Amino acid sequence: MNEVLQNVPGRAGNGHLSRQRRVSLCETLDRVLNKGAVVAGDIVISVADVDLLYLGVNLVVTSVESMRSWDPATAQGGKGPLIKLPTITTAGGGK
Amino acid sequence: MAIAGRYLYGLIRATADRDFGPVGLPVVGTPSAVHTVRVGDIGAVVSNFSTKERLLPLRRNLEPHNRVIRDIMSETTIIPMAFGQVARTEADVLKALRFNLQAIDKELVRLDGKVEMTLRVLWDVPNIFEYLVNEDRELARLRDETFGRSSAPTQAEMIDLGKMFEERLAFARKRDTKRLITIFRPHAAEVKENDPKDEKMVAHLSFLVRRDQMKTFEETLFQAASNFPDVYVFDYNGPWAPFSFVEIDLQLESAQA
Repeated sequence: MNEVLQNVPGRAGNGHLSRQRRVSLCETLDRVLNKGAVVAGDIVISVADVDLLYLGVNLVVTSVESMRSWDPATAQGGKGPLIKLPTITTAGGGK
Repeated sequence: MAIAGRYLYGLIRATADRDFGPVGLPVVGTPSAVHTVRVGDIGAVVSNFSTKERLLPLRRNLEPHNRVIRDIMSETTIIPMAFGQVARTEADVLKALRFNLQAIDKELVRLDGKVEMTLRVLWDVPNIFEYLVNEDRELARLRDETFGRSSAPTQAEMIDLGKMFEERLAFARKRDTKRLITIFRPHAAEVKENDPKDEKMVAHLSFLVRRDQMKTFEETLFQAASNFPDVYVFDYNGPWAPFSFVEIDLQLESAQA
């Protein structure tokens, strides 16, 4: 599966052009955790931890390089290693 | 920390209630049913959610969040929600929709039929410092002056050299980013510059591209890649739901109502 996730480099004239055939987990995390609409106000209850969660994002993303074999296109929920968020338990000053 | 309510995936145009099947975040290990909660022709894509623990960005939660958004974007425009948004009740979802109906409508119009593409351009060199020094006589001279003497350079000299390097790096990025944006601007509805997170990254751009312009967008990519020097690598991916271009947050307070 690693192969699928590798960039497929192609040469087009001078500059190299590559396209990730399958989207890496980093790309997914960057969007899903950092971007998109959020709800402001007391409707949100789970996001009591969201500040901590955001603090953890960079750590997740950097540690994620080693788990690139996760393919969001085919992954089945619940199988395989979980993404551990080290800061969830340690970043007491986050909020 | 127990949580119960409606997990939110995104906002879509829906003139009738929609049922997307048991593809949502798992509740006690079972995928939840994803459906719409509607006000007028605006639908929030939700699933019932409860957990005795905190809602963490674990793979088993992120994967369905991502997949639901991706599947829906293949058939209609979706304003994607960030991970981890849970409304306490369906009534709260309705309330949030009502308060923000006009803003959501406007956003759906703006994003209609468009997808997000990401382009990273990198310097494919082993050492970015060396690369810039070779490109820049003045920087090379200062490097030689700093390190070419028998005595070790002072800290101040090192800082001066570092500063000049940073300046040149910033200049090269700005120059190339400007060139890239000029190339892609005609083929994208909107462009966003993201900060390069890597010293070898020239530019990190997000494009909001109309689906019917995807072909010309990709052709432009190939063309651009061939017009840049050999050391430039173009790395692109997509299409994504327009995560980087979402400009609304759902206010629950009546400030804007």
